[in-house]
Formats: sequence, C-alpha cells, structure tokens
Amino acid sequence: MVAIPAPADATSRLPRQLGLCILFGATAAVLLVLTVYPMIWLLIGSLHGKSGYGFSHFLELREKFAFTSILVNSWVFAVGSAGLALLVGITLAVLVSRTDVPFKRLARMTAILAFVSPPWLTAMAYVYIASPNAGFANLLLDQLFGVKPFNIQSMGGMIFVTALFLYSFVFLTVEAALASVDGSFEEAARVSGARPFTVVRTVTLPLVAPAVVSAAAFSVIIAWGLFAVPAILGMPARIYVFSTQLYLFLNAFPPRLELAAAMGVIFVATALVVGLLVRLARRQRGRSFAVLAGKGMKAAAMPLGRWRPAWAAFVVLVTVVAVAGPYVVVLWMSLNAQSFGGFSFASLSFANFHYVIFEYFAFWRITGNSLTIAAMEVAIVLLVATLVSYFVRRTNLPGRTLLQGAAMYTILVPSVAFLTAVMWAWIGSAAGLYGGLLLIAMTQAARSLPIATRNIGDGFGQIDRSLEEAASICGAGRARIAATVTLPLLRPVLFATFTLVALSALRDLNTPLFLGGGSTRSMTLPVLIFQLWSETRTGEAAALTIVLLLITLALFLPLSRAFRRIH
Amino acid sequence: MSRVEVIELAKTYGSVRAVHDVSFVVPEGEITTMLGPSGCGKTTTLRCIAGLETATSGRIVIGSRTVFEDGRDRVPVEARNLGMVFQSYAIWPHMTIARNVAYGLKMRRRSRDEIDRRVRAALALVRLSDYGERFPGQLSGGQMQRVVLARALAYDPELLLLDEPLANLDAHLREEMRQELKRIQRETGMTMIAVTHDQSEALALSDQIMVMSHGHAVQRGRPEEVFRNPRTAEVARFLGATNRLAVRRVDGRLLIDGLGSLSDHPGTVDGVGAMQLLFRPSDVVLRPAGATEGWPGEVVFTQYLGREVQYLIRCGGHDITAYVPSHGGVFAEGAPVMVQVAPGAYFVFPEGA
Ligand SMILES: Nc1ncnc2c1ncn2[C@@H]1O[C@H](COP(=O)(O)OP(=O)(O)OP(=O)(O)O)[C@@H](O)[C@H]1O
Ligand SMILES: [Mg+2]
Repeated sequence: MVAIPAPADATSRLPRQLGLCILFGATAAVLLVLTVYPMIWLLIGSLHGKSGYGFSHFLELREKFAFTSILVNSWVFAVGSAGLALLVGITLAVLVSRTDVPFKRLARMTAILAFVSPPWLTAMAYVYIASPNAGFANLLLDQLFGVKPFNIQSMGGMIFVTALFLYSFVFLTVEAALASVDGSFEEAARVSGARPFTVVRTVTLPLVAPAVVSAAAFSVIIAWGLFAVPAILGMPARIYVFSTQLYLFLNAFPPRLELAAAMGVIFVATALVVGLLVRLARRQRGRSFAVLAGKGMKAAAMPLGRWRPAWAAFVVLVTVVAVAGPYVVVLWMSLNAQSFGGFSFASLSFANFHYVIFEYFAFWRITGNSLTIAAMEVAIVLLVATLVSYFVRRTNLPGRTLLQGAAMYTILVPSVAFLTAVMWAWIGSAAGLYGGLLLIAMTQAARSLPIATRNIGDGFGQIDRSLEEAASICGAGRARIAATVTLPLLRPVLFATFTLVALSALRDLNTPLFLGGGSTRSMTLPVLIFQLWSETRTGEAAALTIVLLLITLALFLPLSRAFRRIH
Repeated sequence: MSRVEVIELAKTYGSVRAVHDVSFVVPEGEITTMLGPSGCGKTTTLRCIAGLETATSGRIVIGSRTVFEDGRDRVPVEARNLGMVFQSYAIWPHMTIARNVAYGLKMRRRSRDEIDRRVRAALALVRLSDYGERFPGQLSGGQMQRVVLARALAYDPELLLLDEPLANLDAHLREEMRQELKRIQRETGMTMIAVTHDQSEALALSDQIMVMSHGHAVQRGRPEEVFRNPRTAEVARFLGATNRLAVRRVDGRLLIDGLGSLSDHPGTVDGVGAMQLLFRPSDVVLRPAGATEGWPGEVVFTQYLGREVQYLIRCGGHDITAYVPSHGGVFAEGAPVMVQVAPGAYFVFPEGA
C-alpha cells in the first residue's frame, strides 16, 4: 500500500481554536441579551424612584396594596398546588414503575398530555363544569337536590386545577428517577420481609428523594409563574396572587411598572433561595448516594393484591379528571352556541368555529403570528442549547459553567416576574423590539432554555466519548466530528426537545399576553382565546382552543412520522 | 510505518500519579504490548500517545515528528495519523460498516475510487467483504472487533494503537482474533502498540513486552526474555511465578526453612541474607514418595483440569501450588509426594522487593 499523508487541514490548530472562541463569545452574548440583561433591568426598575435609588416601591407595595394578603395567597396557592401535585404524582409514579397496576400506558400518556396541554384549557373546562352559579354540575345537583355544592372559582378550585397540570411534572420527574434506580435495592428489602407499602416508604422514596425535593421546589416556582389559572378562576372571586396582581399593575392606567418590578424582585429572590436550598440538599444527598450511579436493573413488579382494582380506578380517575374530561367539555362548549347550561344536542353547531375562522377579522394573521413565534423560538432554543451543551460537555474553555448558568437559571424565575423584567428591559429601548414577534420569541426561548439545555446536555452525556475519539483518531477536527458523529447521534434528543419546545411555544399565554401590547399585530391564538373568554364568549374561546389543538396535531403527526421513518 | 519513542512520560490527574517516568522505544514494524495489573497506567499511556489525553510532562516522538513536548501537544490527535482500536469498539451506530471504514479516508480527501478500493481491501483483510452495507447493530461481537480493525487500517496509519483489543471476546474468538491480528501485522508491517492485562495474550502477540506497575515501566524485552528473566519479583509474579518461599542465601546456596537447600543458579539477582524464591506452578515436578531427590510433602488438594492436574501441596510448613501434566497419573489427596522445582526455573529476589 502507498502511505497516505495525514489530513492536511488538521495540522494548524490555532485558527480552529480561535473559531471555537468566537462561537463561545457569540453564544455568551446571545445569552446575555436573552436571560441576563432583563433581570438587571428588573432590579433597576424596582429600586429606581423619583428621588434616586431606594426602597420606596417596596414600601408602597406594603402600605397601599394588600401585599400581605397577596403573599399569603401566593404561598397558599403554590404550596397547596404543589402538595396536591406531589401526592398524586408520586403515587402514580410509584404505581406505574413499581407495581402491577393495570393501565400503565394510559397513566404515562395522560401525564404527557397533561404536561403539554394548556392550563387555561383545563381552567375553562372547570368553570363550565363547576362555576358557582352556572356550572352544569351545580345546575344538575340544584335540579335534583336543590344544592349547588361546587365552587371552582375559589382558592380550593385554583389549587385543584393547577394540581391537575402540575402533577404531570412531578410524575415525569419522579418516574424517570425511579427508572434509573437499581431495582435490587427494593428486592433486597422485600426478601428481608418488608411489605410493599413499607418498601416504598423505607427504600423506594428515600432513594429518589433528590428528585422529589426538586420536583417539589420547581412545582412551587411554576405555580408562582402561572397566570391563566388564577386569572380565570381567581380574579372573578377577587382572589389575587402574585401573577394576577402583576397583571393588574401592568394594565393599570398609568401602568405601575415600578411596583410590578418590586414585586417581581421579591418573588425572584424567594425562588432563588428555594433553588439554592434544593441544590444544597441535593448535593448532600448526592454525596451519600454515590453508589446509585450504576445502571438500573428493573425491579419485579410488586403485587397490589386485592387493592388492585381500586388503584386501577385511581389511574382512570386521574385521566378523566385531568385530561379526558376537560377536553370533552371544551369540545362540547365549542360546538354549543349557547354559552352555559345547554344540555340538548339540538343546539350543537359549528357556528363558533365559523365565527373564529371566517368571521373574526384577524384569524389568519394571528395564526401566522403563533407559528412564526414558535418557529423563531425553536430555532433560538435549539441553537443556543446545543452550543451551550457542547461547550460544557466537550470543551474545557474557561467560563463554560457560567454560560450554562446563564442558560439555566431562568428555571428559578417565575414566568410572570421574568416577563416584567423583559418589559423593563425593552419597553423604551431604541432597538424597537417591544411589541414585536421577535421579542416574544426571544422571551419564550429564554423560558424554554433550561429544560432544553438539560435535555440536550444529557443527550451529549449519553454519547460514548470513544465514538468521537475514534473520529479524531481518524483525522477529523472539531467541526467535522460535530457534524459527522455528534449531531447525527444527537438527533433523537434534538427532535424530542424540538417537540417539547414547539408545543410549549404554541400554547404559551403569558408571554404574548404580557408583551404583545394588545394589538392584533403581535397577538397569538392563546391570547385571542383568553380575550374571547374575558368577553364571556366562551363558545368561541373553546372553538379556537380546538382549532389550536388541531393545528398542533397537524404539525406534529407528519413530523413525528417522518422522524420515525428516518430511524 | 514509524518508530515511536516515549521519553520520561508523566501524567497526573489532580494528585493521582497515573503514569510517571515511563520511557520506551517501539521499533518500526513490530508489535509492542504493555502488560500490567489493573490501574497500572496502560490505558493512560496509550491515550497520551494517541493525543486523547494531554500528558503532564515528557516527550513523545512518532516517526519523524515530536508530537508532545514541554507539557503541550505539538500535533493534535487528528493530525497524528494513527489508527486506534477501542475496547468499546466505538463503531458509529448511524453509519454502515462501509461508511465507518471509509471515514478516515474521507478525512484525508481521497478520491471516491480510491476510497472504494481501500474500503474493499480493508474489509477483505479482516474477512468481512460481504458486510459493508450492514449497520453495526447487525454484527456479532467478533465481527465488530474486525470492523474496528478494518476502520483503523483502511487509511494506512503510521501507528496502530490497541486498547485491550480482545478483552470483550470469548476464549475461542480471542484465540482466533489473536492469530488474525498477528497475520495482519505481518502482512501490513504496521507498527502496533497494544494494551492487555492477559499475560498469555501478550506473550503470543508481541515482538516486545513492556511490563508496567503503579504507573511505571518495570521491564521491557522480547517475550521469552521477560518470561525467563523477570527483573523484579513483581514482574515474576505477574508472569505466573506465584509460588513464593522465604530463603536465605548463604555461600552461594539457598537455604529454605524446614526444607533444606537449593543450588543457586547464575542469572539470579545479587544479594545476601533474607531473600525470596519464586517459581511457576508449571515448573514443579512431583514424584511418588520414595524418590531420592526433592522435598517430602503431602497432597492437600487435587483438582483435575483435563490436560493437567492442579495440586496444593503442604511441604515443610509451606504451601506450594503445582500444575502437572495429567498423563502421568493423578495423586490422590493425602498422598505423600516428593517435590522438586525444575532446575533454572526459579527466581531469587531480595525480600520485600
Ligand atoms: N480521569 C481520571 N482521573 C483520575 N484518575 C484517573 C483518571 N483516569 C485514570 N486514572 C487513574 O490512573 C491510573 C491508571 O489508569 P489506567 O486507566 O491507565 O489503568 P489501566 O492500566 O489501563 O487499567 P485497566 O487494566 O484496569 O484498564 C488508575 O489508578 C486510575 O484510577
Ligand atoms: Mg485500561
């Protein structure tokens, strides 16, 4: 054989390192704009008053607005929702991953649907079912027994509906953790004579304690950021929490941006403390549980015995209450021209659909907005999250951990607080982004970055290093390795992340509502739904919800089929 | 094909000294094997040569190029023009076998014709000509092993590195692949550095063996040379001399407590006073009680292994393991025997070494 010279493009190292550094700098700059810059403005906004910097806004909050009651409400709401979500989510996770309960697939599907479906959909459905005066469950019971027992427009109702959404987050987190814990720990406990429930209490749950702790903390933070549920269920009953009060500040005339900033700072600070505590707790746990690292062997399913039917009923009940019920109700509402209380099939029609699609003047434009924003957001998120993960996992550039921090920390910032920050940062800026689609996409991207970065980072972690080393031995440089080995292997993870981000982009209400400025120029479908709902055009709101779901399905079914064909 | 020179190589991870003061030369066109117990730094040394790990200090020369010097990689991995066989195979699951093998050639911007030709040649060399269009998931372990070889050989690298190339194979395949590897080396004349912790593999495969211990190269030489003349007690033990007796060297003779004496032979390490005597179980000769030569002992434990028999013998307060060919009959447990070590087949080292 004739000897082949080494690859020529590989001998000069400096320019490539330079390219890498430039890319790193660009990523850092983008992250600064997306996530760091707004938060600086939030702080400035909260401290800056007519007479220089000070705490006057915080004092005003305390004195003029029933801030204590908002604090109490927010905590009760968040802790209540998180508590209920943990109860349901953990129970289901243990049932599905450790017992012989039937309908496991149903439970998983339900959790995924509940996770991706919009909270406002559930809230609207429950108003229809259980609003104090006109909810049909109340009307029915009134006719039969003369009582109207349900009131969804209450703190209890808010907690209930929020938990129906949050439980899915807990379930998915804890189930993933359970799947990675070696089943032999629990089998050892059973062999030593512990009953199933005791095994769960003494072995299973302690082993996944870190996952449970972080699921709990993030549930609280998510609940603080939630706007739709407190707005649809709480505001009519004059129950205000953090997010709805912020909304009031921003929609007051003139807007009280500075008060919103002050309140945002308080909740961000609280959330940061919560996040820090979780980190500390996890780190301590992590040290003592170092043995867990091994790859999990599946534990044999624990028999539920004669309680099996009862638990099966529980699984089905969760499906009905959290997903199936609300969807059926919304479908019914959308087909019903009468807004409330109609039970007759005679009044069913497509009138609502006709109105929102053909009569409402800006339907196409708003749909276009939704899709444009989703596309821009997905592009930003995938690009930035992949780059950040790459720098963290595959280089030793100084500052890469900081970069990751900048991409991830927004998970600790309640959604509405972050939106206030973005508003502060861009409202008067010469860049002219405010009120435009790009800013909405950028902001949603900042919200999706933590989860995307974590997913993609884990994806990198799962690629055996030797696959890339083999490529560099063969003569491939950094860029070549990334293009020919790393990214192709990362494709499934990228696709899954793409799906998650696009779904949450299409259903997001908070961002376009807070940053859109009310005109149809930057309105999206969820905002229009919310607006129709606020005008008590419930049938139209429901019809538009169904339209949004159909659009989502129409986008994702072909995509996922195409994806499956590739693999 | 290139000669490789490693000079005073050291690699530390934080406070862990994985490799220190390792120097050796790999002659052109030969197979050198690094042999040693787990954790002694074999993989680390190999990865430093590859450039996958940046050493802490020392110098590495491949062919005419100094690739590492003054704590800095002078030539990055991808430009070192190496082939490497990974223990975990590292065959890219998203590419066909042919594309896996073609990868290095594509990086070298060969023409399509040449790539085709060389891929076919490489696959033929490892006897996988019909498997080019398959995906890695559709191959057996032994076939994957050969794909890795083909991929590493396809672009005719200067040097082939192999990290435990046969560790994942069953005994039969391992034997077959070992011969295959040697055949390929003879056919291509490629310089190879292999890592293993299996002494018989090292002995069979190599032109040169380097025994490592605790991040240090202890001895280097032809297989038979290292096997016959281990330089330290550790090397001797690692190459199978697992019987150990405490002895004292007095006036050119070796005195063994409770057993008597043994004549010294030239070539053992110098020293007087407390020493240790090491020998291989297969160098033990057993005779029925009543023979004139040897130490009287008693068979404590017998294990019939087919071609040979393994004995544990209690002998003057010492335990000795012996592997004896089975065709001469089997001693029962409890039988009295006379124990002898084949002349010249024992090693003497200072105590504590
Ligand atoms: N990344 C690392 N960080 C810290 N210590 C390391 C690292 N990699 C290897 N070591 C240590 O360096 C020493 C040598 O490791 P190396 O992998 O070279 O051993 P080896 O001889 O290949 O062993 P084996 O036969 O088990 O593969 C070991 O003590 C190991 O614990
Ligand atoms: Mg090794």
